[in-house]
Amino acid sequence: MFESILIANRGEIACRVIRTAKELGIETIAVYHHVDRMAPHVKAADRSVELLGDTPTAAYLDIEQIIKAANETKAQCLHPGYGFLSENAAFAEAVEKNNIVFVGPRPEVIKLMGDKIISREFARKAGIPIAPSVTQTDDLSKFLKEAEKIGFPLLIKASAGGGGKGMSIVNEVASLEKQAKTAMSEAERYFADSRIYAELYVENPRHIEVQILGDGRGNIIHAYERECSIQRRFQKVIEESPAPALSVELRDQICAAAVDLASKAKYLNAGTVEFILSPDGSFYFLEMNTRLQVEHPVTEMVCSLDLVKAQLHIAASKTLPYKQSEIKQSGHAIECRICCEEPHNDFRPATGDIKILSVPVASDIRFDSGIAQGQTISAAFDSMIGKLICFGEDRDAAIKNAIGGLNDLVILGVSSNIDYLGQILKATDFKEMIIDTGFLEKNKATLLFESLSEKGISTVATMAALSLRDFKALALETPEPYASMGAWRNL
Amino acid sequence: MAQSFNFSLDERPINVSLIKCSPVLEILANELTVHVSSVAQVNSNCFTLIIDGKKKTVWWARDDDAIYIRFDGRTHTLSYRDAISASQQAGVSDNVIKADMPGIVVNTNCNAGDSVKLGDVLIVIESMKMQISILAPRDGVIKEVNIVANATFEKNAELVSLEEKE
Repeated sequence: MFESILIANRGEIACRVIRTAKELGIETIAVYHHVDRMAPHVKAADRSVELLGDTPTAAYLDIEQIIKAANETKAQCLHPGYGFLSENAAFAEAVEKNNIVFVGPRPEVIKLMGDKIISREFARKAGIPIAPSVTQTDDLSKFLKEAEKIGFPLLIKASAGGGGKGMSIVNEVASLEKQAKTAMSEAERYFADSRIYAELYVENPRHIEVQILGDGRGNIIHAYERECSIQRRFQKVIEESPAPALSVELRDQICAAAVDLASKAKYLNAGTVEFILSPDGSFYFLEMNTRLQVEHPVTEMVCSLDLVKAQLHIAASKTLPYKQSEIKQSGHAIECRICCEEPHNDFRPATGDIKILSVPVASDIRFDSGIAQGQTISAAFDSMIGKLICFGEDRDAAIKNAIGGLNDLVILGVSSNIDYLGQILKATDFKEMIIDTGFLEKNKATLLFESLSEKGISTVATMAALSLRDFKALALETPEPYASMGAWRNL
Repeated sequence: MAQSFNFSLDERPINVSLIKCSPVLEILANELTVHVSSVAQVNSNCFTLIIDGKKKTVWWARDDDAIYIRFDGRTHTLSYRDAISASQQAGVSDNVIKADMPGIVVNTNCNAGDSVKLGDVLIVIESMKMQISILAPRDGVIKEVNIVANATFEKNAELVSLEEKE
């Protein structure tokens, strides 16, 4: 095993990796931008190196500085986390050139899977089902004509894309050209690559993905599926494992397709193959994520695995830590992504100080975060600040546990989606497994809180008054006999 | 007259006053009587109480004028100040274009001194991974552009200011 690891990330995922590395006795090295100097990931690590940058994000994307930090601290391996440089092939290459082990796949595979057009072609050749699509060439008008033939609604995506960026649903031919151009401009801006493609939009689709582990020589095992259909703007909000209302036969087919694809790519380390599942049971390859996923904890809970430990094992030995037969699903796990945003105000990101943070503590609840009380949430980073992962013997028990967990998770001072997540879990359609990626839109009205009654307003205001020192002094510290005399009077 | 405390919730003013302290607290909030007993501190920002016969655990935090109250899985944000001054502050001048939400500037399409017409794209920002054009709210002349491309800004940041045409 390694003696030291540099974590090229921040926030909850940096804390997550540090936790396992410490359990394995590996020295942990964090990197941070000035704004994060007091952040939990810096405090949790054994050592830390400051990265300079005009913006905080620029610092965490600075390959040269991160490599320098790894060299100077003599880090034996580097974990990229997710986001930032995690799927940057040039970064993985630079890490290896400096004789540091990259905890992830080979750069060529990152490149292959990072390009949606090339990866779809690879999947097609591997015999994995893909949705009908058209790739953009230099001739935009020809592309538009062919895209029209797929039929509407259709989906436009950036070839180099991910995370919903440069992606849109086109409902009619009239808006095709405009949306294609917007997507190209967004793709150019985010990925410096304006190539887009159009594909059939599967109506009422579910998002099912498979966790895989590979040894780089074609041996692949899977740790079953995750359901990530509760999304807003193509961003996952709630994930669970196992996927509800999915037959064992179909699940096995999907897992087999994922293993097949990863095997043909001679995939090394942990990765995720994502699929779109149509209500008619057909499924299509969506993309492969060549890193640890945000939602990996649900798999860890139901399969009793530590995926970061598995990643480090593979990176160190180039062998798989388990046999397929050793991986068993048991129980049910649900992850809620905690974001600083205003769910009822079009999910606008919220900023502010975390004045109060209180976290539920229980053996079947896990809170992965990179936040601390007093921390400022700025617009510099992603709005996701943590994840609440709850286990139950079955789905109903997991939902109940998660509702309780959200109830006991208190973040005050900056708006968050905690209450909204509770509303999702309480929704009848969620309980009854009527789920697809349009869930949040379809259930919009039921996810809103009812407006407060007059009585409710009085109750809240009374509680607010009781939080005030002056009111409390008046109400609770008034000595007898004045207390029973009724209202205070100005005499 | 009882000492009263003024809050507002969703822009609705609420007046709270203490009527009686014994045997249980009797509180008048917007003409409705609320009974409270067994108030017990759990920690500096959490207390339990029995309110109109129901036991609740309440978390709270204070941030200047804002009071956050959380119970039963729902968070309420109240402001604790005179409702009249609050509504005056809320009015935003047409002369200053403020950010509705935090984000990053994609590009600026105007410079100080430019004449602009209602609906002209002044700047393009990116928030929540979407590009949004900020349009001129009226005809006028750009007085100041306070941001540059790729700069980040917080909610309520003043992005561009306008002045009347001469």
